[in-house]
Amino acid sequence: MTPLIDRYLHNVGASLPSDRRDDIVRELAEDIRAQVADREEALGRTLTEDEQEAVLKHFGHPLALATRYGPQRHVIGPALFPVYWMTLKIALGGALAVNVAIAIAWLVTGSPVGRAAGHLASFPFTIGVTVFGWITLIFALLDLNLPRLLEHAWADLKVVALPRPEGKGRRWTLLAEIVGGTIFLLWWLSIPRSPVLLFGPAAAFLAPAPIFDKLYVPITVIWLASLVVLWAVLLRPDWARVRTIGRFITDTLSLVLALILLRTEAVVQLAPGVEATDKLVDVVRFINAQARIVVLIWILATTWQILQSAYRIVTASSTDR
Amino acid sequence: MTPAADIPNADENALFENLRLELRRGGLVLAVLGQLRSEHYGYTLRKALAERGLPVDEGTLYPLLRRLETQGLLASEWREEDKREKRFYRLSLAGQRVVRQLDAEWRGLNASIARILEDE
Repeated sequence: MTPLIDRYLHNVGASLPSDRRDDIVRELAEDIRAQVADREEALGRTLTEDEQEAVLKHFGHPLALATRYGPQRHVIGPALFPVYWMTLKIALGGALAVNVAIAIAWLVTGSPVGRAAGHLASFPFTIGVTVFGWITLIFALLDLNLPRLLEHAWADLKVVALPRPEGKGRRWTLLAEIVGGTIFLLWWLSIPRSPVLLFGPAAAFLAPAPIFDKLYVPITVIWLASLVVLWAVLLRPDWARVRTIGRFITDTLSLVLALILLRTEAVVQLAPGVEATDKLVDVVRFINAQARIVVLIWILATTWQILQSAYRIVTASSTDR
Repeated sequence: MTPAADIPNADENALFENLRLELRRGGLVLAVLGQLRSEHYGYTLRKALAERGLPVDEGTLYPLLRRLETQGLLASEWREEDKREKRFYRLSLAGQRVVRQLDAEWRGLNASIARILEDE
């Protein structure tokens, strides 16, 4: 064997499992020797180093060749990979949307621009990596147990998710959403002129906090936008994608508003000219505490809707491809 | 669904190459098993396959031989021939049974695909 061939075989052997190394290298050496001998016989001379190199190139890079002798390993196999990839896109997209919403909320409530920008800039290295790591770990564990899980699922067909056929009820649901949304909008638009619509009889001593004036127009615009999207889908049922994307945008904006509200001390206050008795102050405090709980639920529900919309957008684009 | 767009040339070539390798992978296992109905060592096996129109890289063939042996389809032994030690492979008993089944499967599949492609 020439030094070049020896070096090649040594490099292959270095990456092979020790218990099979000698055997495999011996077999490869025999093949190389036979090829070199055949060519030398045909040419009637010894091979040059370049010609030997050409023979070795057929075998491939030493590491690549050694790797082929190992078991075929993967963290997430082909069966789970499409679901893993889709979940990753949704989770990272959803996490990004929520963090963009938080950054916007900070900006709107007067936090320094640097804080919001820093938060977003650190996203890939903090939250992004964490989301990626956990999802990958969970799917890797799922992949390990996939055959057993599939067997269980197959034994009970009810647990195998089958797509639900589109029902006629869908159009009625859409109409109901439009009617409900329009009634809300009319109610909302009437509040500045008649606060009693917001507080009922309590309007005599309660008034909206200053945050109400700040958010009134954005809430109206977002609500109008979602109504426009609903109308568009009602008139053009083939625009289902428009609805999903529209909903994703309006939900993200509404999450921004909810986060701003969460950072606000009070959403209601005593009406001007009303004496701040202990009892009334307690009532206002109680209502504001309850409002915070409602806002928290609103944030959770909206985040869930954003993830659902992201899921639909991703699955629709996968189907389109 | 959007209507199928024309694929750029480079993508089409890469796609073809992937599909070709996928198509070839299963066929290669059957070809190796079929060729090893008579005993060979690596070098002569590769030559025999190439002479029948199926050239295989060494980097593909040798690991494949080891895998098939681990699966119990091949048996091997080191033996001297022409004053050189060589590792000879042949089908095991299990390998012979599997090859018969795969052969029937291959012929059926081949005939079906030929009929499907002829219909077009």
